[in-house]
Amino acid sequence: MNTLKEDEKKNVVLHAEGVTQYFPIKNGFGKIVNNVKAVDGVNLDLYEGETYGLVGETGCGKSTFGRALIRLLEPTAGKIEIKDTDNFVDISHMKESELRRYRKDMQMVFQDPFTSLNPRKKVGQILMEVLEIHNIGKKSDRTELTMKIMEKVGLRPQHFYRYPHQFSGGQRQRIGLARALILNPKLIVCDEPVSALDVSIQSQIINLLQDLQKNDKLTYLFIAHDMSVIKYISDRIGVMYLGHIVEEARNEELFTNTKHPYTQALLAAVPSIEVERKKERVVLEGELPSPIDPPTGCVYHTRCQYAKPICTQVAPVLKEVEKNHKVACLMYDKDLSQNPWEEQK
Amino acid sequence: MESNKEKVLEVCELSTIFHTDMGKLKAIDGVSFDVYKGEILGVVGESGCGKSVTAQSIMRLYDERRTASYEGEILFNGKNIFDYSNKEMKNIRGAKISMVFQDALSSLNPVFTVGSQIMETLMIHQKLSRKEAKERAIEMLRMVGIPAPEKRFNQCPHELSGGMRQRAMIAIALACKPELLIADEPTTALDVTIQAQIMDLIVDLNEKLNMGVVLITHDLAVVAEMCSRVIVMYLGQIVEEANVKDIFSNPKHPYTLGLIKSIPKIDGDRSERLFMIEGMVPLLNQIPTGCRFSTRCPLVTEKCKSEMPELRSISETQKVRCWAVE
Repeated sequence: MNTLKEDEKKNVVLHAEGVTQYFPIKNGFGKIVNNVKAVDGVNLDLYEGETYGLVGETGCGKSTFGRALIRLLEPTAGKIEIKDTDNFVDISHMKESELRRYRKDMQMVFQDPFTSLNPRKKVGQILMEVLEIHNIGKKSDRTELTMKIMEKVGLRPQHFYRYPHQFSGGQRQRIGLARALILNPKLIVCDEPVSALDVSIQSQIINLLQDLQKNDKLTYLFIAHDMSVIKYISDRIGVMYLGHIVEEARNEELFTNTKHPYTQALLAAVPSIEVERKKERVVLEGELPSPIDPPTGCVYHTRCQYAKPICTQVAPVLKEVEKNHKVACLMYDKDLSQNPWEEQK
Repeated sequence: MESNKEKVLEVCELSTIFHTDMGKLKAIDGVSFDVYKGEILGVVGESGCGKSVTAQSIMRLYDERRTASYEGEILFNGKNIFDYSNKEMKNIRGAKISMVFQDALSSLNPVFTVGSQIMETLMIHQKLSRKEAKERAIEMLRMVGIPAPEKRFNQCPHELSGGMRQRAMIAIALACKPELLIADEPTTALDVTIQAQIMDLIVDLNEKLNMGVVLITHDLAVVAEMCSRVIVMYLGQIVEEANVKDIFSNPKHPYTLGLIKSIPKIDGDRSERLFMIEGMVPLLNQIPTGCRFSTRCPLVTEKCKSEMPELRSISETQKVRCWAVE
């Protein structure tokens, strides 16, 4: 578990181990009384040129995890290593000043194109600012570089002097994308980049993301709650529930050979445009429990239709049950001395 | 099938005109459709196509003295609602026609308990006493599937989760057993799992209470799961109207087709590029002459650019506004 094999390490751009992010809850005297356990011990490897889709309901910690990975938050525990030419550097507790040289490699695209752009700056300024901060090129080169990147994401040169409010949602998302791309990053965390957009605009942005990836060997961590978008864009998919990844598999595998009961319920809930195929929906009862006081044992047992008494006591770990298919569920745990589901099979 | 059903609502050539700094803008232009008892009618389209304006016009929610004026007729149970006075309109809103909004947190009053907001409707419209209203309110909360309704009754909106709030809002809307429910993107802000619960609830209550439902959404998949008929809107006009089966198996208008094709399919081919509708929806003060979709349409001809096509019936149940459709 601890170290990757040498040949595997070559392709990995980011290696995260046991990432944990707690947000303290303080009482009136500033004493920490409890924690919101947003992300609880998540392992993840991202490979060069792949798109890793992360799905889950609101409040499951997917955005927090994405932010922690590129150190917009400092994780409470765990290790995050990114590849720097040949060796790996642990950035999990690095100082801001040291971190700056690695920021170039990891960028983020935000969900809301309306609040993530400074309304008082022109598009040109927004993009050039990034180059100034990272001290790239002379002033004249910067303008040229900005123009180039704008062309790449489908913005016109005259847009350079416009303000964000003069653009539509889709155009603004292009600006956000240009801002992330201008530094030539290796990894982009896309936090629900298309969920605020209409379908016709959504497909434009998704196609753009894929074109850019092909040209530059970009790695995406694509966070979304829309199953059909995730299915279309991802190579591998991780399903998150209450701060844990409960299932991780290659795209096709996850949809055809769904293992975890939560993933099954999530897929069944997705509405489909095929009118004929009226599915028997497993309606997931109830809602996500509070991350302040998560259930003991398996976090999903309160809503799981297969739950047994053992699930309330033993917390499952994410284990490979088939090749490249990891599940965190006791039902598939072969090491369990007495598997109560065995008899049913 | 529908001919023997009773019409709840008939919208005839409705136009809503806003008076803005940029002059008069027609947000919807000559929209006509019917809603029958016991059916769910879907209204789809992208942002800015006028679906919410249509909904709010049916309720007459715009300030008619300053911001907006209406043209055309809306017949509710055979009577034109534009003939009603403000006072009469108040008796209809929330009692006979009610509405569920997208954002439950900003639509519910944050300083009153959920229970008192349901009671308010009942006491105003049905003149119930406090005690009766409280009983009915708890009954409503139970009907929309809120566990422990006695406890929830005394809670404020912020104490409920997103799905619960949406349920509470549905409870308020249905408290007076309306004949028509307008649901404006009721599931858009929710997770898929909660969305499935709310969709089931609306379908269930629609059958139970035999009311007409107008479901406004941008999500075609939601329409496919819930509705019996669909209207597709583009830039303030209806471009296609059909049964839900036909709209997905046999879409006629290039815009409808584009919308359906641009959704990534859950069992689709990943190597294919997603279909794109080029460009974006024009602004209301830059409406193209001729067909409104002509600036983005792949099948555009000279005729489309100069002449506006009418919404024509091509079969008993399907209507299309396009020159290219025979």
